[in-house]
Amino acid sequence: MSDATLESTADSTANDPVADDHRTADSAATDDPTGADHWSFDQSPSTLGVATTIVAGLVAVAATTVSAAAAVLSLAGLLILAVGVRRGSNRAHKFGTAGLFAGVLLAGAAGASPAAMLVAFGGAVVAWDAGENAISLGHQLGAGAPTRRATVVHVAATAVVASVVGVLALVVYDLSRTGQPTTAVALLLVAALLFIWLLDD
Amino acid sequence: MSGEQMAFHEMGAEFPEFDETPTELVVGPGDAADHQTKRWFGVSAFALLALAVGVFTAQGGLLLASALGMAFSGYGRLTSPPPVNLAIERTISDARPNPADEVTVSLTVTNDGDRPLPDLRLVDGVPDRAAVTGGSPRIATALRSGESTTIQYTIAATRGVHEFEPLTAIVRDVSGATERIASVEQGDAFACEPDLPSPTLDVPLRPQTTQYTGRTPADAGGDGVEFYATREYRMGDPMSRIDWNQTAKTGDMRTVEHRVERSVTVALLIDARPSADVSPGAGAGSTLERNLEAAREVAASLLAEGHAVGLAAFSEHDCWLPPAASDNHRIELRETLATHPAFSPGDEDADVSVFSVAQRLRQRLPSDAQVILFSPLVDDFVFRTTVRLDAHGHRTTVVSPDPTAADTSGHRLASVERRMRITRLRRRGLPVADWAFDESLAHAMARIRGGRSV
Repeated sequence: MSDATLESTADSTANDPVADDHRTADSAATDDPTGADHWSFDQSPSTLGVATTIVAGLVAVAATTVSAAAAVLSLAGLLILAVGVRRGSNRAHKFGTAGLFAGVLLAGAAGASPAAMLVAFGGAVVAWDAGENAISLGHQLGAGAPTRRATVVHVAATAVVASVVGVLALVVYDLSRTGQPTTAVALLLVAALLFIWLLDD
Repeated sequence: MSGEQMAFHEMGAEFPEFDETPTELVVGPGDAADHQTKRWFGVSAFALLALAVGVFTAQGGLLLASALGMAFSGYGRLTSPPPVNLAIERTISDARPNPADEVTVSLTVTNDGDRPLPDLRLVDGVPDRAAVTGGSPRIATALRSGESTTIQYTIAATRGVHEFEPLTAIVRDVSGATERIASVEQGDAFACEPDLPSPTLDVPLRPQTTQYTGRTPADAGGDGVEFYATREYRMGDPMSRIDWNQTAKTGDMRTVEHRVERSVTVALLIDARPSADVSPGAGAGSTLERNLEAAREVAASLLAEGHAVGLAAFSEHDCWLPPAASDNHRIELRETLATHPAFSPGDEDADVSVFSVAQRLRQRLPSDAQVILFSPLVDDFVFRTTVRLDAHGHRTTVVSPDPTAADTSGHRLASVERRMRITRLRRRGLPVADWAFDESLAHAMARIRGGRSV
C-alpha cells in the first residue's frame, strides 16, 4: 500500500509533556543535541544545579590535597561527575561520585586531619546530592522549567545537615581527646542506639 | 476556571515495583503514592566503607567521615513528606479561541497545608494536540504554608476540543528520600472552532439537479431569470410571459421559458482515516486539516448558493449530518467540522471500513444527491468506493489535497500511484481537483471549471 511510504503527521502533533517524558526518559536522548527535532524534550539539568555540584565537589577536592594521588583521583571523579550532571547521565554521575569518594577515602587512609576529612566527605555528599537532584529535576521537568527555588532549598538543607553534623562530630572527637571520656562515651552510646534504631526501621 | 482541593493520603506498602527513573511512573487520576527514591543508600555504603578502612588504617578522620555518612543515611530515613494539601486553579485566557490564536494558561498552586513543602514539582497536563509556544508548563519550587506560585504558558490553538490532562504533582521531602506522586483531574478545556469562511469559492457541481429552486442552472425550461427557449402558447400561460414580438411577427402566440435554477443536495464526504492523514513534510500541515479546510470553504459557498449540504466521514466514529440549507444547519455544520470525534486524530490501527461507510451513506442520501469527496486518494479503497458511489447515481466530485513528496523513490512511487488513481477517476468522468499543498483551493477548483481536468 502506497501510504506506508508517506510520513504520518499524527506523531508530530502529540505534545503532551508527560508523554514526552516517557518517550525520552533514557539519558541517551539528551546526549545528542544535534538530533533534537522540533518536538523533542530537552532534559538537561539547570545551570544552577551543575554549578552547585561543581562548587561542592571543589571543596571536597581541596580537602583531599594531603595526598597527591587522592587529590588527582577525586579531581578526576569530580570531572566525570560534572560532565555526567551537565548531560543528565545517571551513569556518569554514579561513576564520578565513586571516584570522588574513593579519593576522599584515599586521603583519609593517607592521614588527612579529622577536620579535613569531614569537609571532604561532606563536600562529596553535597556534590553528589546536588547533582542527583539536578538530574532528576531535568528528567522530570526539562530544561525550560523554573527550578531555582527548589534547587536552592534542597542544596541548602543538605549543606546545613552536613555542617551541623560535621561540627558536632568534631566537638565529640575533641572532647574524647582532651580527657573527658565520659561525655564521649555517652555520646557514642547515643550514636550506637540511633544506629540500631535506624537499622531496625 | 476551577479550584480544586487535593489531599494526599498515606497509603499502605503495596506499591507496584518502580523503576529507577521516577518519570516512568504511571499513577491514575486521584491516586497518591509514596515512593522511596533510595537515593541515600549509596552514601550509607560509602560510610560503611570509610568505617572499615578507618578501622584497618587506624585513622580517626575516616571514622569521623563515616559518622557523617551515617548521619546522612539517618537524614534520609527521618524525613518524610509533609501532608500535602494543595489548591489548584487554572485560568484559560480564551475558552473559544480562533485558530492560530495564542491561549494563555495560568496555573496557580497554593499550599493550603500547615507545613512547608520543601520540594514541589508540578507538570501541567497540556492537552494532547496542543503545542506550548511560550513559557513552561512545569515548575519545581518550595512553598511555605499559605504561599502560592503561578506558572504561565501559552498554547497555539488548533482546531478541535482540547481537554487538559490531569496535572501531575510530585512532592519530595527535604532530603529527597521519599517521593509522593499524584495526578489531579481538573476537566478544563477549550474549544477552537474555525468559522466557515465567506463564500468565495465557485464550486463546480455536476449538472444533475433536484426539483427545488436554487442557483445551479438546470437543463430545463420554466421559471427563472435567464432566457431558455420559446414554445407554443398553452392555455394558462401568464400574459407577461407571452413573447409579443414573435406573436406580432408570425401571428402565433409564443411563450418565453426561462432557464430553471435548481438547488442541489450535496453530501461532503471527508476521508478522516488515520491512515489517510499523511503529509509531505513537517511544515506542510496534516491532510486531515486540509480536508476540513477545503470542506469549510466548499460548504460556505454551497450554502450561500442555497444548496442543501450534508456531512459524512470515513472514520471509526459515525459522523452524519443530513443535508439541509438553514442557518441553524450552517452553525451545526461548522461545529461538527470543528469538534466531531471523527476529526480528531484517532487510533492509527483502527480498522475503518470504507465500503460500509459508503453503503450507509447511500442509504441515507436522497437518490439524486451529489457527493463531494475530500481525500488524499492514497489507497485503492477510496478509489473503488468513489467509482461505485458515482455509478449508483450520486454524481461525485473529488477534492484531493496532494500529500505526496518527491524526496525518495518510495515517495515518488506513492505520488505516481496517486496520479494514476486521479487519471482513472477522470477517465470515468469524475472531476478531480488535485490540490497541491502550496496552492489555493480556489485555484485547484478553477482548473475543474476550466474543463482541463474533466
